[in-house]
Amino acid sequence: MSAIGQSIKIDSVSKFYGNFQALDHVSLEAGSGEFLTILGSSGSGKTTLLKIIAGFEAASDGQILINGENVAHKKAYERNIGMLFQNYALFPHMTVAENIAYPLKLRRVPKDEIKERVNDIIKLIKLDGMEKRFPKQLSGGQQQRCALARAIVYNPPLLLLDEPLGALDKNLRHEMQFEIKRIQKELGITTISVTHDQEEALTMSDKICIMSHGVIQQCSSPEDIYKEPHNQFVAEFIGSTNLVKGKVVSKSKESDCWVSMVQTGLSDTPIRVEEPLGKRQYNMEDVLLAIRPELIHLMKDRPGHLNSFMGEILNSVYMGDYYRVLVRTADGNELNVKISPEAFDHYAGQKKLEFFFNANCVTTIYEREKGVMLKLVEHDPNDLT
Amino acid sequence: MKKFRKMTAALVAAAMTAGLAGCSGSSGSSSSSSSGSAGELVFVDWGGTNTDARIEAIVKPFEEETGIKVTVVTPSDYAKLISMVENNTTEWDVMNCDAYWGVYAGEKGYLEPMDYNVITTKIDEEVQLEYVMGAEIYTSVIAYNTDKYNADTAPSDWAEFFDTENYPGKRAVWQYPVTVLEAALLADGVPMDELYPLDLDRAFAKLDTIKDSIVWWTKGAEPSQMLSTGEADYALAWSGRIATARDEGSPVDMTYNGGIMIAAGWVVPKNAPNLENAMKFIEYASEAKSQYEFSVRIPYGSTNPEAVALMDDDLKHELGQSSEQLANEIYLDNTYWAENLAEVEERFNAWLVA
Amino acid sequence: MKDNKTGFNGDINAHGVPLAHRVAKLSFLKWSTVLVPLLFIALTLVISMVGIIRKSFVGADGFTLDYYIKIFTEPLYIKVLFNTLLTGVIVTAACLLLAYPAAYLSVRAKKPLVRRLITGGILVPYWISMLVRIFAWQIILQTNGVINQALMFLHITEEPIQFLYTTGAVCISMTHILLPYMFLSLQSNMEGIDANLSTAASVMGAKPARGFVDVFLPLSVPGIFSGCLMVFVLSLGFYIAPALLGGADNMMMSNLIEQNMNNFNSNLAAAMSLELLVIVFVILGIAFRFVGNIFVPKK
Repeated sequence: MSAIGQSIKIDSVSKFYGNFQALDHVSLEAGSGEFLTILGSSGSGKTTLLKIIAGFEAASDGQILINGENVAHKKAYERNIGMLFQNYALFPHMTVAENIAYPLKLRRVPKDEIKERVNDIIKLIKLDGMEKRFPKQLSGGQQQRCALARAIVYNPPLLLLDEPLGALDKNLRHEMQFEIKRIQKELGITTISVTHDQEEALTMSDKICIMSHGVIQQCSSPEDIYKEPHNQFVAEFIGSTNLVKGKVVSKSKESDCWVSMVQTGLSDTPIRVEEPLGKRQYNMEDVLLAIRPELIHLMKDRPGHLNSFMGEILNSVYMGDYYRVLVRTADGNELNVKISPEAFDHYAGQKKLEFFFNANCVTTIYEREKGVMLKLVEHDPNDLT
Repeated sequence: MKKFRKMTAALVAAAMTAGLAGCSGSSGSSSSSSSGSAGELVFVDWGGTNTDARIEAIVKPFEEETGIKVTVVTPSDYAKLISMVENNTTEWDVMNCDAYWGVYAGEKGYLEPMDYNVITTKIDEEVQLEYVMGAEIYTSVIAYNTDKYNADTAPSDWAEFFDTENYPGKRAVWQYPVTVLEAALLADGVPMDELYPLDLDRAFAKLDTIKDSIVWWTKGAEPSQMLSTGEADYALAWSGRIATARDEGSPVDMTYNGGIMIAAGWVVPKNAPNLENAMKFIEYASEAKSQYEFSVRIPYGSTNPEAVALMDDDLKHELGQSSEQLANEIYLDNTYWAENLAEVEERFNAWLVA
Repeated sequence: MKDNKTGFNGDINAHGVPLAHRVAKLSFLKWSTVLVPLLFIALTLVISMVGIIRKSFVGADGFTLDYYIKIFTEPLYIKVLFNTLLTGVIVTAACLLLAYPAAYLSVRAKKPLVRRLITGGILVPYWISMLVRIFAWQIILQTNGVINQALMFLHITEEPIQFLYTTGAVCISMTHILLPYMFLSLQSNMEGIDANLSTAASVMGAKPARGFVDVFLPLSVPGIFSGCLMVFVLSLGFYIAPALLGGADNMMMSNLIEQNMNNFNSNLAAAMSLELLVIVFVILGIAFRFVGNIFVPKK
């Protein structure tokens, strides 16, 4: 099947409820066939944004461009968008087949063609034999498949997913993650998903936009979001991370990277930080260093390593394939560290140990970035998720 | 088994009379404080100003004089009396009802006969009957709106009331055959003393002539309202209601000429729990003083000639009980109606909806 | 289903016999709170029904069909039954037409205040005595009443129009009285309809009207049915409003039943009551058959 998805661009959309600003000049873009996830906690404005894209709410300002055409003034029923609702919103008085056929009926598709297309999509989403059942007679997963089929049967250029897996139990969630992704790729349908679930965002998306307080904090690939958080919020929001305060003592450009020497409380010697040349560097002294727990290692195999520090183990929790260890550094900071069971056993009983991390595993976060990106809003009454 | 049957019939009656929507309510109230050892009495009346007057004029003095404690219950309810008697659960001792219905119920075996050893007062013989002792009188009269008409321009007898040519306009008429058929026959020229048995064919034929000009009423308060608001120009109405409305300032008046007197009467349901007290009460209520006191308070006539004799001329005139007025009025034949009500009412209904 | 399984059996298994005993005792208490009133209703209903049925078939001379023959052949009884049913149908339809939009707006209102205003506006008359409301209509509809005065002031009519003592007046007042029943029935049904469904329809391309017809309306059918049934059945028992606001044409079954009770003809009254009851059951039967085929969302 050829790709049906079209590009979508949200251009500087703002939304006010009275004096309260739910969205603050939000811009984002998804190319044809791309899967974009808007990730945020409740009150972040993500649901408001979804409603504006779908046409349930009007933007106070800004444009929504689908394939270059501004649809901001159009009613929901004129936008030809597909949407999968959190609780599926299947019509309880219609059978599976009738539910799926409904959008085609609205488009006055000939009866024979409706039958054919409904049959095709029912095969695609593996609901064969369920055509005559009512939604109440289906399991949660089946209901979701049915709702998905209904949302895509009319080949909408854009598919919106509202917390698509929120109502499913864990096993089913994994299955459906892959299922939705498979169908989305197969049809090449541009998709915007809204969720608060990191794992869902990381596994399904081509691009993740992290949203907080009505502002997009960062839009990047899942890898970049994880490895290169642009600010403290993103760093802390995705996965767990250690933030270490420091002062830049020197900065230089080498052949393949920026090198900053940062004085921290970890040890007396400055920490060496290597970052790709593409990353913006600021002329500022106060920074935070973001270091993922799994990137801090015990000094077992690499004695005399560059970025090393002494730490005291406060407690440890066995997690199966690793130990989660809380380490106190010389200046009294506490860091999360992941240690393999073998390494942990090797040093069993020793309280004080030496740790290290590689220079290219650290991200500097500048105060400036924090200041620009983070906008603190106490409460968003309109975001009900 | 007996209890079972009682319950059954009570429920049947309740279910049927209340209908599906349930519209009737009843209330009980004890009228005064006296609580002698002379016993009790449950008295059922229609309620409203009528009962208020009765409590002042009769019930309270009776309690004081005899020490019998009277519980007043409203409203009088024929269907309820029937079901009580049928199920042997009679709680009422005395009920005020239409005298013709009392005769009817008595003949059917639902009432105790009057004990004329206790009741020694003599009242109008037309309403001193085996099962019924006449109480007050209300008369079906010709009433009219005084803003539009006066005694000279309004119909002055039933013939004129039925004359739509010379007296155009709407007539409010009781949606019930009693007194309406009499009025039709009187209008058609039947002399008062030849009225009964009613010539039904002739009566309905006469009613046909004004059917299109009739606005029907079902509750006694309606005709004076209809006259005041202009819904009707003339009315066949109950004298007491018109007098009350007139005294309250409504633009209505009436003529007693051709008036058909309906007596309300006292009856005692079969197996009344306080039979002796009931008869004492009826005797007391029938005495001239009691009837006079009642008529002073509310414009209903008296069935006791001695009570009428106590009235001044104005009051007599207001109640249609001066001798000149009475010459042109007639008592309803309670026996005729007792025997024929069911049949005539059915025919009347059929005529109505035809 | 699920709750029962985990709650009840689970407790017994986990805590052993003594507790099971206690639970059983408790559940007996719990059940009796339901069963006692249920039994009472069933018993009184059965007893009174048996009584009515017996009365309608057994006269002074034993078994007879005379009462039924009478009510099914004499024009008076046929006509009055027809009047009663026709009035019921008109009133039911009027209630539905008035209550549906109001219920819809109240359920879909974004502001709770709007919802409360609509609900209150419809329910307030419910707490005013029926007689008072009937008299109010008399005043409004009479020849010199507000409506006629307004019409004449606006020169829409030169002569006052006869509103009172017509079928129209009866239907208006009965509609007014029965409207809350329809409204509440519709509202409680509509509250169970997921607002997302209409949103979903609009995303799929349904204009508001189309979405309403395809989605909301069919899902509100159970509410329409129960509301219509309730109003229709209640309307069959009315007699004060027809007596005070209607003309001779508006005689209802209840009037005849009451008159026959007063005239010592409870047998005929019983036959008429049963006639009404059977009609109601037939309508109920048809309705349940019909509603049974429609999928009713349980929420």
